[in-house]
Amino acid sequence: MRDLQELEYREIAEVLKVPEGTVKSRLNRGRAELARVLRQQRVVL
Amino acid sequence: MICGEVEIRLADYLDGSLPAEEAQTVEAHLAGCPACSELARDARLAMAFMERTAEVEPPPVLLTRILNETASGRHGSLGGGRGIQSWMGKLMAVVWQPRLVMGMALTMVSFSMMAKCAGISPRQLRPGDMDPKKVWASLDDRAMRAWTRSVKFYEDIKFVYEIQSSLREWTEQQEEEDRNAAARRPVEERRVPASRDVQSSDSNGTVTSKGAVKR
Repeated sequence: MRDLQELEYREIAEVLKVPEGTVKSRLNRGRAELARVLRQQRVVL
Repeated sequence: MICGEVEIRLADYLDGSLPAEEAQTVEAHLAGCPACSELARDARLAMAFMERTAEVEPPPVLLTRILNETASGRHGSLGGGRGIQSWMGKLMAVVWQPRLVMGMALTMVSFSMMAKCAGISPRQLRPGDMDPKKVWASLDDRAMRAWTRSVKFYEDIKFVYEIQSSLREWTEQQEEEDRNAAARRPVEERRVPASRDVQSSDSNGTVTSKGAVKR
């Protein structure tokens, strides 16, 4: 939602009904997980 | 600042929207915390990757090829095999067989030629048109327009051909008349005294022109 739909953290928090801080920390974890998966797939980051 | 606080601020930090003071605090923590620094590095890499990915549009040819492949039914059932890997494997196996490379290239050329003739340029297709209904509707529409156009083209060609054949007929008629006239003249010439016999032994055309000049 953040990277592709370019929503604000506030908007994402509204959609997911979670606090904005949770959106931010989950976003980091999600991004880190994506980087890990991409590295496993030997995608150059 | 503890790890949990950094985690919350990291998104803003990576966006560059964190106030300078807080950004410095985050940087100080990252420098001393391997776990957070790894998280920050991976998140930054993934973010950059997503930015790059968002700009990449799949090549339009891919859409056309997918449509061709799925429409032909050859790879119609993606879920039928052992998933996407077996499908890819099969596809690649075909690609790597040297004998088939030529055939495939020719097929693609003919497909692109067909598409060109039908007025379906692969460049006109965009991922936004991916909705199957839209794709087929537009293809039908284009095919219909192409058909109408080719019918018109055919009729134009027919018209031109008719004019051409009429012209040819007229020309032939004209030539026939000339030839008849030319055939008549030597007969007349042959009737005149022997002084002109040399000329009459030439071909008809020569005699005609000379006779015409002399007359």
